Amino acid sequence: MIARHGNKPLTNRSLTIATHYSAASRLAPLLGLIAFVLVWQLLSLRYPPFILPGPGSVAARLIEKLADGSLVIHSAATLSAAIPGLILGTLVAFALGVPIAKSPLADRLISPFIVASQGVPFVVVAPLLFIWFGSGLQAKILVCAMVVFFPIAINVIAGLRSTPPVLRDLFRALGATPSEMFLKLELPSALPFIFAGLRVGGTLSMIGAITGEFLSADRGLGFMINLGNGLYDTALVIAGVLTTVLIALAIYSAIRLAERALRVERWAE
Amino acid sequence: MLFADRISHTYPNGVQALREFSLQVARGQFVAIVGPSGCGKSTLLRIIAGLLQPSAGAVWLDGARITQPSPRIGLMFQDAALLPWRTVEQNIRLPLELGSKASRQSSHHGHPSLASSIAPLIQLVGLSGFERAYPRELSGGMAQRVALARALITQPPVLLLDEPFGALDAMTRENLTASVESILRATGTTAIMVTHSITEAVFLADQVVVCSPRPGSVVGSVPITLPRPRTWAMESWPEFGALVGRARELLGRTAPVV
Repeated sequence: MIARHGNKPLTNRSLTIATHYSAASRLAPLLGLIAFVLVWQLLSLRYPPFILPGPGSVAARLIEKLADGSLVIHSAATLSAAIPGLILGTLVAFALGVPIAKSPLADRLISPFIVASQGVPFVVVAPLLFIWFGSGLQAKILVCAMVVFFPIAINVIAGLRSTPPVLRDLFRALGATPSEMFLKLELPSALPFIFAGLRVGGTLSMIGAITGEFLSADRGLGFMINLGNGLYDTALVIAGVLTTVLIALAIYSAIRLAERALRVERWAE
Repeated sequence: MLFADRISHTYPNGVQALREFSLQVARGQFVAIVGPSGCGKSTLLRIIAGLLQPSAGAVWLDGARITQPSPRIGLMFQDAALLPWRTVEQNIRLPLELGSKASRQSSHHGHPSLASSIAPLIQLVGLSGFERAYPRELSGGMAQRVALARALITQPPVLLLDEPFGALDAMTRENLTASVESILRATGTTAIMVTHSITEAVFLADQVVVCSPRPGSVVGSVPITLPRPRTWAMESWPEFGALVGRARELLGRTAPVV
């Protein structure tokens, strides 16, 4: 379901199917949510609240944390690592992805490191970053950037390599300079890929920031979840997870909006 | 005048695409090259366009040797090759935006005056009313009309056409070939087209050159004496049939026609 509509244009045929099922397909997410909450409620009746609290008590915890302002403070702390981490990860993804896509030498030189970096367990490396950069925001941003950069880099590379050869010939025949070739052809051609990478990276950025906060933090959603864990306050843990999911969805939607604003759907033929 | 002098080309994988292919095209003339699949026709066009260096031989345009792409040579491919994020009008303007300033000024035609001349060009290729459409909203024939306008906007003295109608349905094809014939006649553009269709070649060209299977070389050529402007009604003329027959006979000498 994710991004299906972003990658394929709505042709006449899919449009008629869409209108035919539109009532059902619009209600589907809502129905799914209601079913989820119902099953959750039923299950929670069978267990004590420190194992599985019901939706009601989690909602109460959320409202309480919202009211005393701590949820906003924790969310802001997490976002202050996630967003710069996403930006830094994106910059690194471009800084490495562009040369890899354009030069076979850079590909052979850098790619092994990039692939190897994905074999590194972040939870193990993150403490090193805290030792090197202190337990502050910088280390959190770095953990986040590490998590985020890979899907974006892979898509930047695939996107830049996806330029149709006939368009390359055309630009060469028209005497395009290397920078024109990049800015007016390769980069715009790659946009659908780059946005696909950003959507994945954007949602991962919350995971990156929270991983960082799990290891060392005095505020943030990761800290709050960790705290709830320690206190057997399971309702607080679930409230924290729900908030994280909602923020990740918001980041995803913001990236989708940017993609719509650029009208990337025109790319699909 | 365009002169391809004994062009040979062997690809790095050892495939010899062309062997001593020579071609002479007078100014304003339309030459169509027909030949079996894989006879190196597209390789020849890439070499003439300056996109590929031949292993041996040289291409001359009005006395200057072609070693790299030149604004004096326009290109049309089988694929319309439009940028999907640009409107029809922006796609047609593309050639005016590319290339260093120096190389643009050194071309024989002043671009500033061309910038304003896009409306008549759009009208000429029959795209009026579609200036703001995006490529995905266009039919295959319309897309090729955009590609034609884009190739003509710099007023290149030479236009190379690599099977530009190959991907179109029969009706669109007849329609577009007729448009191309009248547009090139009006602009006086020299044209070299490669095609699989003998009928199309006879319809458009002043001269049909038949090439052999790989490695491609010239088997012979048929001068086309039909009057211009050409119309598809001429297809039923005995003369048209005779010309098609002569081209087919030359082609048949080279290899079984598939």
